[in-house]
Amino acid sequence: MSILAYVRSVRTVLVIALAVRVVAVGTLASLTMLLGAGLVDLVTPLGVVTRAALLVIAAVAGVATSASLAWRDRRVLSLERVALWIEERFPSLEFTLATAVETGDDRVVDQRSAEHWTTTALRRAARVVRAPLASIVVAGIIVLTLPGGVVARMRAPHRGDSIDRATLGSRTNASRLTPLVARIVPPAYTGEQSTTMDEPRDVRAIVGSTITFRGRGKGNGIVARRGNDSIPAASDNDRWSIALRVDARPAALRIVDRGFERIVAIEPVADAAPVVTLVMPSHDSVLRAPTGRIALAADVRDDFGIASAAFEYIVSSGEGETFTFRSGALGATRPNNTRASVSAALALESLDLKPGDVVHLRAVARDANDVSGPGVGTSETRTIRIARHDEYDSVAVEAAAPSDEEKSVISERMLIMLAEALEKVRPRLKRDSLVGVSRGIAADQKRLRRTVGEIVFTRLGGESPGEEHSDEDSPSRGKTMQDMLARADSATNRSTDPIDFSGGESPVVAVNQPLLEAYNAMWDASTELEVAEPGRALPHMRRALAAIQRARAAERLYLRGRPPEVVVDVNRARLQGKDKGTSSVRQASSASDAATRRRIERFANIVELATRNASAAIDSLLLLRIDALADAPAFATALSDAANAMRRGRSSAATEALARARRLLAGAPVARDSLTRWGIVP
Amino acid sequence: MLCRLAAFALLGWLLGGSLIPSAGVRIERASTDAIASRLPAWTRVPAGVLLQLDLATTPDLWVADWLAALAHSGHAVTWSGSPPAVAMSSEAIADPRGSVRIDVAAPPGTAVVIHDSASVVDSVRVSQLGATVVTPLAMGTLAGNAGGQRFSAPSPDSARLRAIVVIGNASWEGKFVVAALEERGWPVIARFHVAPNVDVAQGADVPLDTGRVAAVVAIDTTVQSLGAALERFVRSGGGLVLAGAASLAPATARLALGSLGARTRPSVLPTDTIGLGATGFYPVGALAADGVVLDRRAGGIAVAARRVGAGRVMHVGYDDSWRWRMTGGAGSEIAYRDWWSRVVAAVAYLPGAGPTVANASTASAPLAGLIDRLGPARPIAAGKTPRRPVDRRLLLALMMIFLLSEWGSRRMRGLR
Amino acid sequence: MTSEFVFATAQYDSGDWDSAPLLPANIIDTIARYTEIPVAPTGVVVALSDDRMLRYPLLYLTGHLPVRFSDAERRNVKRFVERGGMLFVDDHNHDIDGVFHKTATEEIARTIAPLSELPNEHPLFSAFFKFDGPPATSHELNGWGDNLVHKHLLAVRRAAGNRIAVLFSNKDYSSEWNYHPESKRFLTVDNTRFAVNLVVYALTA
Repeated sequence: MSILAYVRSVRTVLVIALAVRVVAVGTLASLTMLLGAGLVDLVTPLGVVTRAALLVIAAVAGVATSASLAWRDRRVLSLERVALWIEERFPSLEFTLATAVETGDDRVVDQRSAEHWTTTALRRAARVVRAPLASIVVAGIIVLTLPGGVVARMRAPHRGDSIDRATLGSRTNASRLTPLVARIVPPAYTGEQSTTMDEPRDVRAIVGSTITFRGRGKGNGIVARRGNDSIPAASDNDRWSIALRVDARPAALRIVDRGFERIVAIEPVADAAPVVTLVMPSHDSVLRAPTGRIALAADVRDDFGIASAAFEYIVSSGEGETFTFRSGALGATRPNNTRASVSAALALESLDLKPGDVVHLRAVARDANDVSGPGVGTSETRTIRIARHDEYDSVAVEAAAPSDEEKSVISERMLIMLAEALEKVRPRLKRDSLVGVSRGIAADQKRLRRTVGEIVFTRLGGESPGEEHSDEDSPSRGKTMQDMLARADSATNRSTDPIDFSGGESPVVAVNQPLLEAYNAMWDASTELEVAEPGRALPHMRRALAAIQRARAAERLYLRGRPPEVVVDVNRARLQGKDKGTSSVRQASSASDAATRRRIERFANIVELATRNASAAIDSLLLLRIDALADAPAFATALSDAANAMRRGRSSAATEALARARRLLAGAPVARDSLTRWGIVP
Repeated sequence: MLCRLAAFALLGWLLGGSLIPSAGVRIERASTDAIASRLPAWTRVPAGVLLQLDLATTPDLWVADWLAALAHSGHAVTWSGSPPAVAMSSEAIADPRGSVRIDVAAPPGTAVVIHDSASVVDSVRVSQLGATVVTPLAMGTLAGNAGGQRFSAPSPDSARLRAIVVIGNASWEGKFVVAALEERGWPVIARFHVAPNVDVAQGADVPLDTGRVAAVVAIDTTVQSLGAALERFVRSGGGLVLAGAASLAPATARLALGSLGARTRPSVLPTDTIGLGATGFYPVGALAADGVVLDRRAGGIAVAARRVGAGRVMHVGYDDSWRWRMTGGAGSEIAYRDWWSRVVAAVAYLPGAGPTVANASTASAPLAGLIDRLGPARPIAAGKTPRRPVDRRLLLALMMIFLLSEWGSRRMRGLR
Repeated sequence: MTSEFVFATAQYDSGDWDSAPLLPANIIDTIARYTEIPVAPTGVVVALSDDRMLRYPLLYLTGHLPVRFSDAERRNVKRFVERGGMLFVDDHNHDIDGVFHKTATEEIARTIAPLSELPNEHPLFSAFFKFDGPPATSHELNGWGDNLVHKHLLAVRRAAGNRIAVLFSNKDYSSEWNYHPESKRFLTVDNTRFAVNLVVYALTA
């Protein structure tokens, strides 16, 4: 092997030794910092942020130490320096080696000592790395002897590791409620991450979340009370835990361990319903013709996620008191996002709209809340109306008192229901029973028919039928009615006013023709019912009902424009009523601020307690805050500020917060800059 | 020898000083801030020492008590200066919530700050003889500070309330007045006339006396149905609120604040929010001589009050105050409720103790208390202030030094 | 501004709010006939979206078509009820399966609170005339609409006490009372008497 090769060999050994030493010293520096911090943490707990910072600092310090050492000893990479190093240990070389390395001519070097160079380098290397490596071993032994929590807390600081923190000495009667960790797992549908809190006093969590409180020690004897509910703790190794679900009401959770107690305020955060804004159409419209497409657009926002969104429409057709309705949806989507834009197009032809029809449109969105049910958000409603020829809505005029046919003892509709029910159970009934029930319905149908008949006769000027006569059932009676109807029509239909009538009929005919039809249909129906054939009677009964409805519709006559306003002559009407009323009792109502007064009393007690026992006063403030969270949030916030200030010993901040709280609770005082014995009235 | 003579001279001086009284008067002076710290020392000075106080503000009550004790023990205690004359009284108001009225007497222009055990209650600058603060909540001792002068008064006990009778035709005004009072916590007996022999009533039909009823609120002339019982009730201490045109009822003739003027109407009706009185009111025409105006508007006197016998009567010219509640700005329903409660509280009969009046035996009137204990202010004594006597411990130490020197010199001589 | 009782009809954007135009005059006449309550001789129509609706602490709302409050209408209705107003809603369709009932109840639940049955012992039914419950109308007896005779009215009642904030009727009083006051002479029994209870209750409760 040449001399240069020997020198390179020595250099390799020295470089390796340097590298090992650099790494060992750097590691030792980091370890020392962490161990020191761990020992400090053992005595007084360090926060998560502090420990994380220390971890980073230790790592940086280690790297910096290694880097500085490596920089200091970088010359070991130079062959010339290595040669000089060898020259120092082997003076017999008399600088020939350095010359040889510089000139590349190794003939000048006495090669007898070359074989010892590497050995010497190895010995030197061993000496150099011995101390740092031994220190690392010692540090490792120390780490192994430390309580496990110390190492874990420094190695991976995270929220919730306070219960892993070792303590110096242990007392059997110590509170198992400190340290306390809370893990909050939100409902899955929110997609939110779970969080952990150390030493929780206030926990804000979404309704439906699961909160698990954990502490050190066995769980026997530890119980949490929320209202009237008690939840015992479960044990797992040397840890206890209590799990509960967040419901919609704020609550104070008292965790009790023998004589120790901790109060944690649980503040629920409600999942808000989606906010839906209808962008298009931007305003209501009246269209001449039901053609074309209407663009629909809406923006939806939700705090956690939109499960579905769509446009809903309701089509109202009809007028007066006869309307039909159809509804539907379009543009349905499932955004699965917290913001979405929904769009669709409404083809008017597809709705088969007529003049006078009204379409109500809105956007609806639902969130994915599977805890308390999906929250539903709706937009404003837009109205699209198809114009009538006269462009005005119809208005009822001069409607008389409710007509007599509307005061039927039992309605045609109800008779239909009875007949339908009878037809349904007919197979199961004996013949006698069927006949009996069917004839009962027939009797009611006859009575109804007679009532209708009386109305028609009376209107047409005919005599009232009076008592029941056998010839009433004669078909010739109907013919007489028709004749009378025709004469009444010609006598009355002389007006030349421009009046709109349905079907171009005159008022007399429009009102009474349907009643006549109803009368005849009822006759046919009762005939079938008499022979116990409810199934055959039903079509006639339905025909009668439709006729009655037409007659009712015809009662409402429509004119252009608004009716004249009716001005009541109050003086003339005053106390003209036949009936007299009776005195009555008014129920007293309770004070609307009963809850406020109870809070005032509690607040005053807390202020008095604060002078004697600040810690108890802070707990009481917390409980009062929970009570006020739902309906007095500003007051609750002021109480929270006061409690926090008292905890930190900042008395002026606490006083300011209490002053704010009292004003929010009881109202602000009223001051006047002069004396008055009459109070402050205006 | 010399040292011995000096020591004897000092001894003689001490002996003489304790046996022979000094010809001049010894005066001790202190200002407000220093008095409290000087009291222990003054307690040890011999009687006859003149204690002069230079006061910018009245010291605390315990300091005044101590000074009074010194004065009784033979010390002459005088004071001078112009401490502010302030006094405070607190009174429970007839209010279901337990409001307290605090009256403070102070010189004009004084800034007064009132606080209680919890925090500052309010502050006000006096414009005339004093100020009034009505606070819905008072906790613990009430204390005040007026220009550096401290004073205090205890919180009064809550008032015990009786029912309020509201009587009128069935109307929005009657409905909402009753609602406001009930919401505020007042027990209400209501009578609404609807038709001949038809009323809507709430509460038992109790005799009108101060044992059961604190005040009557008359919404309109329906109050006539109470007849002469109304005047008897008021004269025996009951309260009466004549709202709107209620004073037209003959039964109120001798109780009303004066004649009733024609109802005012604004020239321009409000188009959006409506405040109290924005739609007009019934003014008092010719106010009775003993009437006190509480609210004067452009159209006349809207609210006024007077005493009648042992009771109080208030005219409230608004007959549609309910519009303020329904159509006022944000919070109008609360303001309306509070306003009606204050109206009723101003006249309601209140059994039990009256205000905790400021007097000399409490800290609520510090200057009066000081004068009561030490007498009025006197000018500072003329002449120079004598030097303070030499500390006797110093004389004793000198004497010891001289004697030791004497002994030492003997010893030295012996050595020589 | 008058201190008389003024009958107010609520106008809303989405439907046929004016489907019973003669009802106000009829009720005014009824109030005058039986009570001494000062009452304005004509009613007013007031838009729910207008702040002036707060000037009328009793509001009547009816229709056949869907009821969908705009943001302004919803805001005002909420304020109206919170400050002490009373809203009387009547389904002119008399159909609990119909769009008016479904949409109006949804809007009321969303704006104020869900409706619940009003017990027939409530003071409303004895406020002036004595009723065993809400009087039936001829329309529901005739089987009009949903073919049911509704035994109860629905209401939203205030937290403090039994007071009605919103009264909802499926009985079609709008049809029952929608006629000229002069036609009362044809009736043996005045079918508007329950309106007296309504107004007296609103003015005194």
